[in-house]
Amino acid sequence: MVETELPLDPISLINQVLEHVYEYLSSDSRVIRPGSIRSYEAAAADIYFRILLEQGNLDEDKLREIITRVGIQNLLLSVETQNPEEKKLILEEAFEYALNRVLRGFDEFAKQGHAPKKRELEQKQATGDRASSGTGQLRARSRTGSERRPGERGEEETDLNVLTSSVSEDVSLSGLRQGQAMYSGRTASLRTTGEIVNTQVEEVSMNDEMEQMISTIYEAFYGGVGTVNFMNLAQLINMFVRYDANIIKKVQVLKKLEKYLRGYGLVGQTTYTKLTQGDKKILEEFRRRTRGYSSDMAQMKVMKFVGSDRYPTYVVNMREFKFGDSYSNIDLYKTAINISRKSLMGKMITSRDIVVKEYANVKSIDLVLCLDVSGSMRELSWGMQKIDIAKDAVSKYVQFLTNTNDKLALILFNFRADVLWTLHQVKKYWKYMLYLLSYVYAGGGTNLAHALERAREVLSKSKSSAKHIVCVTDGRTVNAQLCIREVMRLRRQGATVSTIAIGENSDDDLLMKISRMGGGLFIKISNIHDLSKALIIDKLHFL
Amino acid sequence: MVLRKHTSEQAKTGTSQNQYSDKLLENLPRLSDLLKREPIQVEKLVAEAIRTKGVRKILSELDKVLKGLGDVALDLLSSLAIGRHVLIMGPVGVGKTTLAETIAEILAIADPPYIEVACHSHMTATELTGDIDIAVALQAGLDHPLAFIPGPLVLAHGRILILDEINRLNPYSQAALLQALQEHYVYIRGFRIRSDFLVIATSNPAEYSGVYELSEALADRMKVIEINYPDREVLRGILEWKSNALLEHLGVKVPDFLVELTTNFVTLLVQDSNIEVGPSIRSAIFALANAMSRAWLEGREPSINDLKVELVENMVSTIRGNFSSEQEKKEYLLKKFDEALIIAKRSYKR
Repeated sequence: MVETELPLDPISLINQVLEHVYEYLSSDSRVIRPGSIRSYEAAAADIYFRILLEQGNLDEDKLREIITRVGIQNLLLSVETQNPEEKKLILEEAFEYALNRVLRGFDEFAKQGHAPKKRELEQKQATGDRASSGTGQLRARSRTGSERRPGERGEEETDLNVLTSSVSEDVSLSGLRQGQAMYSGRTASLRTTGEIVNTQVEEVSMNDEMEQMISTIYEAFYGGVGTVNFMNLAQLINMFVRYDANIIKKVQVLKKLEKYLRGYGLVGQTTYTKLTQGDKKILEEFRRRTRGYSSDMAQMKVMKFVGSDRYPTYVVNMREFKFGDSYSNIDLYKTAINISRKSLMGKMITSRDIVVKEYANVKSIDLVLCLDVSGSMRELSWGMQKIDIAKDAVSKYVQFLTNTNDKLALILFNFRADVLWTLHQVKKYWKYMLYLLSYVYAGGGTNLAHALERAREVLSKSKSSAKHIVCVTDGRTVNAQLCIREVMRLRRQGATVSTIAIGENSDDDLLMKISRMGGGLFIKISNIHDLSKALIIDKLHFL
Repeated sequence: MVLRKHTSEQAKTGTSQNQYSDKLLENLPRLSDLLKREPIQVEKLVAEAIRTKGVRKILSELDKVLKGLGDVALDLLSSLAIGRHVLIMGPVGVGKTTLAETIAEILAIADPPYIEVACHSHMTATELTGDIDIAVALQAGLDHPLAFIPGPLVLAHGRILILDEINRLNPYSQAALLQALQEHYVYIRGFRIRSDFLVIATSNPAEYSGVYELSEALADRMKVIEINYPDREVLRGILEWKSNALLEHLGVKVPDFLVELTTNFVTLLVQDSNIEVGPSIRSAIFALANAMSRAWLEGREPSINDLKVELVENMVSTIRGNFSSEQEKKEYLLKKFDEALIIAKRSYKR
């Protein structure tokens, strides 16, 4: 009996998968409890019976799908994670990891021993004939199968073999090349198995790689029904790199993804194919200028909750002009007074009369901008999508910051938040920032608390003494209580929080509370066109 | 004489009535019988039922009532057959309760095949277990059928217990349920009654309001099956089939275009990020039928405007989302309907 020795019978396959799932869950830092023994037992029995119910029409994909789905169903209430919204995702990751581990093991086995595989095949054909000879036998098989509980297997080995072979056939035959390519593609989304992927991706041809990317993106957007699973750009990029990776790496990833994003209609139609590089730039700039206007009609309300002494004054002192000072730092007003006074008195004008502002360049602020990219940002305002206007406002803000030594991080949040880029000096990296920014799209719910949590993660690595967070949102968030708690934590870390509320739909009470506790500004703008103004007001407040 | 005859007649009818009610009383379980109960392996009964019926037949029978839930039904069957309790989770009106009832009916492991409890937040433990009526017990003895009125946990012995909206069950009653699941015994004033059953619970996702969380020990014993909104094509089939079934006796048939329109409307709402609690399929079916019956009443052809009014009226109470007022919600729905209309017209021209 060759087959009984193979690691291919469904029961041990299920057991192995579940073992690996448990291993994955207990090593993952996001998981508080990896689940009870009872639920794993039930999962094993349940998956086995579910496979029996399929009555043999199983291919490999179906098998994977059944194991994952039924397993998650059984473990869902027993596993506990830090963020309950992530639970399903983590479980899916765990099953993917486990299935890859187990099934790849099988592939290796099949590669090693060709001879036994052939023998096995012949036997299979024989058993296959037997099985197809009558449906009555098929039913008989499932009958005996359903009586058997997984614990007390073994007595009915002959019966098991039939089922075993049908499963093993699928696994070992269709598996090999094709399957492996697929697996490595799926694992690409798993950060933990990065090393394994590196060795395998090279084997896969370019074509396959594209297939993988398409399928990954497709799963990301359309895999889950409903809008809860809609991924924002940051989440998507972070599937391929670490969230705190260098911005240049992220740009590289985005360049690869660009094609597919365009394919799914998530990027605006800004493809000027016939234009030269220079023309494109001019057009982009023109577009940005025209969109970024701020209307005089709209209202803006600013509330300050700031103690002025707590913040680093931006101009440290005034001094005379020295050779090498930038002209932009000259205080024109004071210089003009000096010059006019001297000329009135008829004295010589010297370089001492030119007054230069000395900025606190040593002391830079670490800024984290949390931008709402929920579905409501897709609405039109004055004929333009809100998200586009917001993007332009942020790009203006970035350009404004290039004059300073500040560092900026951007967090996108819809139902979940993720870091698009972590703290980088704007002066050096602004081009990359603008590039990444131009691909931001909107969709999904609103979860401010998660964004604040992410901001805290980002800021925990900052060494600067001045940390500031700006939240831009236009809607109501879930988890209002959690937001307040996060702000308290941020405050304890020494960060300040400002909020900018757009439009009528926003939860002003909560945002005002956040700014009051965060010791920042609360800015209410009725029109999104004023966003760039609001951002700069918030920034100038520290000047 | 006359008077006597009359009284004897009265006595006669009285006795027959008594006999009738005695029969009913005999059908009620006595406490002594309940105490003699043998353990039943319900999962074996279920497996037996699946085996004798065959999976195909079960699925085809289910298809007469609910469409597009074959895979979910298999998940349900597989866990029942190994004795795992199930929690069906999904939005309002996708057929959670109907699925549970239908599966229990098809399996028919006992008569009646299932006991159903509509859970609510003020449920007490005794409501689930049943209690001894002291007054009756004192007068007629403890073994009188009316002395102990068994609750659903006791009645469900050897059957399937359907707990509808289990997320509304408060912690006190959850404890009673947990004990019955764990020990297979229900305790009533010191009497220990055996009770083996399988639970199919239904629940709305936890973000909905008015919800208690399941206790950990109880949650650990349950498997979660999620039902989501069906695909567009399946949804269309369901709407057409169910609304026509409602209208059969009126002798009208829903025009294709209205079905298409309603399908578009529902899919648009499901995908909308402003809406947290989506539309129920049940309400969509009734909106379609309502629009038709309105037109039937007035003796004219149904118009798109009828459907518009009915859809919004039927759905406005179930949908919840990012709205500041009811009026705003209504207007939003009307706007979405116009969108759906445009899409439907476009696809219909082709």
